[in-house]
Amino acid sequence: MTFNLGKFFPKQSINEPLLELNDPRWADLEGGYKGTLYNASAALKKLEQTDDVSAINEIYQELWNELHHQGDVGLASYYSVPHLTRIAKEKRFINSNIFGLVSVIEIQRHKNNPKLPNALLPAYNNTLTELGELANLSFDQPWDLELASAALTAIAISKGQIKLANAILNLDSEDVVDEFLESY
Amino acid sequence: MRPILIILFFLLATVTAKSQKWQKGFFTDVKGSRVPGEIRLQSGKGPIRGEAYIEYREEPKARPIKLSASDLRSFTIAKDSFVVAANGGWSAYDLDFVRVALDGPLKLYQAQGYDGGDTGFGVASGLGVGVGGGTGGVGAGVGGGISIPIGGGGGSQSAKGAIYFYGTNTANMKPISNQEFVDVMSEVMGDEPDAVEQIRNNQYSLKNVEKLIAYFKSLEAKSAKQ
Repeated sequence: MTFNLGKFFPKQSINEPLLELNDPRWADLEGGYKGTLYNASAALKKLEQTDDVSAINEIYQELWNELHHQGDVGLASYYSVPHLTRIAKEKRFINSNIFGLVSVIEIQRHKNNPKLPNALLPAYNNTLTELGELANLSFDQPWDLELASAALTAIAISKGQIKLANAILNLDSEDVVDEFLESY
Repeated sequence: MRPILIILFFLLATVTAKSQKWQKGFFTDVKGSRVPGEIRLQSGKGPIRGEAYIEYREEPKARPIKLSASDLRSFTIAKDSFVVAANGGWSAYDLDFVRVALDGPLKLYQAQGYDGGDTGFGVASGLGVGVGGGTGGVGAGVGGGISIPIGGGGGSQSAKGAIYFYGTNTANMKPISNQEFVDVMSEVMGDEPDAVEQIRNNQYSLKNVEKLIAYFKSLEAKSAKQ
């Protein structure tokens, strides 16, 4: 019989209003893969620094893969949200990636996932409001179905309509929309 | 108003369970050809009734095509690999996909539970019906078959509603119950004594099995470096 002291003295959970991207504690956070640490600050820094479209897409792909996995999100996901939105706002990244990714994290947060740290709550909520404003900016560009679904989801999220947001987010293919309309 | 609410309920109960972002990956068709591109798991009406399907596109601007489970052997999305499996009471489809959570002689599979476990499928472990055929020589026979678990809401589900199975392939995979967890996982992870010790000390259960898988993989990676 052995004892795992970590079980009796669990690692102190982080509770900061925001994590700067050079904060070493990013390395201690879990993303979407349970039991696996993911340092999101590296990808966020890269996103902050590049204007190359293919590099941006690759970074978003990595963040999609790591910050959300089969309904799981983690503290790295939550602490990434303010940075994702800030960077998108500063660099005018108005696309389905930013709306979709932040929305998925917020939708999944309300399910069986870690609690949002209290200290982060004000900045996190402000960010969701900003996400809605960012979605409004997308009115100036043409919408394909993917962007339409993601932008409308972001607006619903910014107004606290989580279930509605979840429904809209899933109406992102012609077939699903057709199926919905057939039932209606 | 009520019909809209009912429709939304079904959308939330079914579609959200699988709808995913396009991610890089590849699929292997029934002939064994491997095709790279972008894939997403979808639900709703697929090309073939009773079969799960994926959407595939060669690149982001390409038109997506639907590939039914019977068109495929397996596919990989980002870090996750899936194989086709016949339903044993755990899916709405007759032919669905299961994630290969751990690959080895004895494999660990995961079905459903992609979105918080609100899909409503459950498996009662231990209630199995063996369907198989055997061939025999003199005084010996070899039988193979499909286990068909019957029932609902058993102890095979994680906290997120995922159902975990073990087996050498999907034809003989069986759901893991809470009672069997220690023995099954000790066997699956037998190559890593530290993982077995943690399992035997009840540090893990079905509720946090993904953490155990991550721990096991980290041990495997360490062993590979040595």
